Amino acid sequence: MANTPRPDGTGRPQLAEESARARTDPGVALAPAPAGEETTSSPGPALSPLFVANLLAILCLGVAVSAWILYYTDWFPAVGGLLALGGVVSWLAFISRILSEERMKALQAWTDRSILCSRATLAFVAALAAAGLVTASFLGAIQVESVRESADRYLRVDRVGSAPGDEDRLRAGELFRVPAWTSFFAPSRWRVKVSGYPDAVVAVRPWERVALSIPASFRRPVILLRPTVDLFDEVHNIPRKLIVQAGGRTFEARFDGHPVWIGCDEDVDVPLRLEVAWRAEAPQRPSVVNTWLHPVPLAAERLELKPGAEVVATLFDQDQKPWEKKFLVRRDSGFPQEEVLDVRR
Amino acid sequence: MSGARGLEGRRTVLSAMALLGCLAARAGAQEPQTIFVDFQFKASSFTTMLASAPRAEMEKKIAADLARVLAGPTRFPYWTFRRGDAEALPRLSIWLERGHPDWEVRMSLVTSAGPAGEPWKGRLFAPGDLELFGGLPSPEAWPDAILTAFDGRLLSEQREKVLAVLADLVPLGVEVVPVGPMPPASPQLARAVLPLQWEHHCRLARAEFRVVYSWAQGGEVTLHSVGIVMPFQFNPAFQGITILHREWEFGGSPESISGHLRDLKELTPVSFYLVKPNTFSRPCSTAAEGPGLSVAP
Repeated sequence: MANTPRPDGTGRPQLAEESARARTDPGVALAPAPAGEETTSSPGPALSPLFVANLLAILCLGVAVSAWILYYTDWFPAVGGLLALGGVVSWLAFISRILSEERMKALQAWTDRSILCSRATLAFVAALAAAGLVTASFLGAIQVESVRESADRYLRVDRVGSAPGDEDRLRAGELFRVPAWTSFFAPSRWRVKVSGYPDAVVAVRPWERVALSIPASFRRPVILLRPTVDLFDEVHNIPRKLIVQAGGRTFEARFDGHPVWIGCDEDVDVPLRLEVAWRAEAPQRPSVVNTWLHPVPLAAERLELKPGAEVVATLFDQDQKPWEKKFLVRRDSGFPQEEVLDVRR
Repeated sequence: MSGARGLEGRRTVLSAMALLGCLAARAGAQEPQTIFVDFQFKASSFTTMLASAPRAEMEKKIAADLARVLAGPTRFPYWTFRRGDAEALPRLSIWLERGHPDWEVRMSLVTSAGPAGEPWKGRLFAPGDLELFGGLPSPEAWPDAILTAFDGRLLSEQREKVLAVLADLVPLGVEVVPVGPMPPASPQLARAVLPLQWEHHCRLARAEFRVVYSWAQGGEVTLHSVGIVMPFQFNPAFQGITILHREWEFGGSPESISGHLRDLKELTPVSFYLVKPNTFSRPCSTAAEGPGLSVAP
């Protein structure tokens, strides 16, 4: 409404200013006024090729950056908030409101003249786009989505071989995206650990978003080696040596009646159905079941079991006589695959 | 001549050795029959918790302790209990076994005919105990726990049953010596003396016995007898317990001994068994020795 020309022409003082400036600025071409409007209104800023190019370049760059942020990160709500002058830049919006209308228009005119009609802008945007393209060619992303979870989980994404970093909280039903450095020549490998589940190691390629969902993506073959009540009673006060051969490696552990995770770390939840079954199996031994609910990992090293692989667990008595149990890693065993280790009969 | 003298000399030596053997046997017979006690963990839960060598030592020690418990005055002081190996007979074989839901101490009498019936059981660890200990206790605690379970549960709860089986199957001894002239003049003189040293075993002074004899006319005769609270010189070494034969049993119902007094001289003792202890609780010295009778030739 402010730009609506008044019959006396007082509503458009800036147009005269702009027209005068346009006459002196070779970069701003005035478009020919439509026929019949020459006496009632001045012509607007001309859409020079440079202006259009700059505008399109800025628009494209902005859209591309936004798209990248939207697809590869979960920062978009924050970035969008900034663009809408929310969050930390809401002060800017406040300042802009205290500026007079004329100043704002002058500022916009300056922007139009000095940025949108500048060749340097095009070069700068092109350089930014090139730099962004190069950078994005060394970035992928990991997305973890909590699909069927009713509880919050804690999530950690670390490059394989690096020290564990901080945990992030993943609320039920939400998703988490994080960019991951990588390259075409050597895709990087990342360890994704969600509390309560075995970890997952994924390879991330440039421009790729690796999507993982909880729990499906984290239910890889894992064995829970559990003693019977009798074996628990044998070993709890006098632990024994346990040797497990799995995945072509041999692990030695001290066995004191705690179940042993083979193929995952300690921070994996025992499913409720197992707890119910255990309590039914040992109704008079609640402390045994409570011990079973806290399995220990076989070793600190990471071990990923392959379906069909053979696992051999050997328990040694005080005479170092072995008591061996062999089993196969099953493909459809539910999660986890429970194997029971009993006393020698 | 010299050859004849040599033969005579060898005979003399052999005779002397035989006499010594008899004397030794008679002197040794003053104790009741020995029942060997063998203990083995058997259950793998225990055997795998302890290495072989210390386990064997512990088994021996526990067996010796169990033998002491069995011979205790409130248990079965009528026999001699001694630790023995797994082959000795007769023996009380004791082991540990997983029951449902308890761990149990089990005991079985094994004679030359094999195990006698079902084993006796006593609770060693209930599930609550294992909850308390967090599993089976460490081996240092086993001997006490086993002795407590054995004496406090197995024997306390089943003493009468065990006694009945022991009395039925394990003789107290072998030798029985008639007292006084044979055949006796009256049923009240149908007596014999048992090789149980009075000073140590007078608690059996009024016990009931079953004495098995081999009869010269063939077969075995069982005489049902009772102690008459009278010590009697069994041999020069010690006084035994005098019994009175009351009934004669041969292939049918027991009959009064009065009709078989003449048959007594045709009997050769085979073994004698305890039937009912009827424990004599007075001091041994309060019983008077019998009148001028002597062991029958």
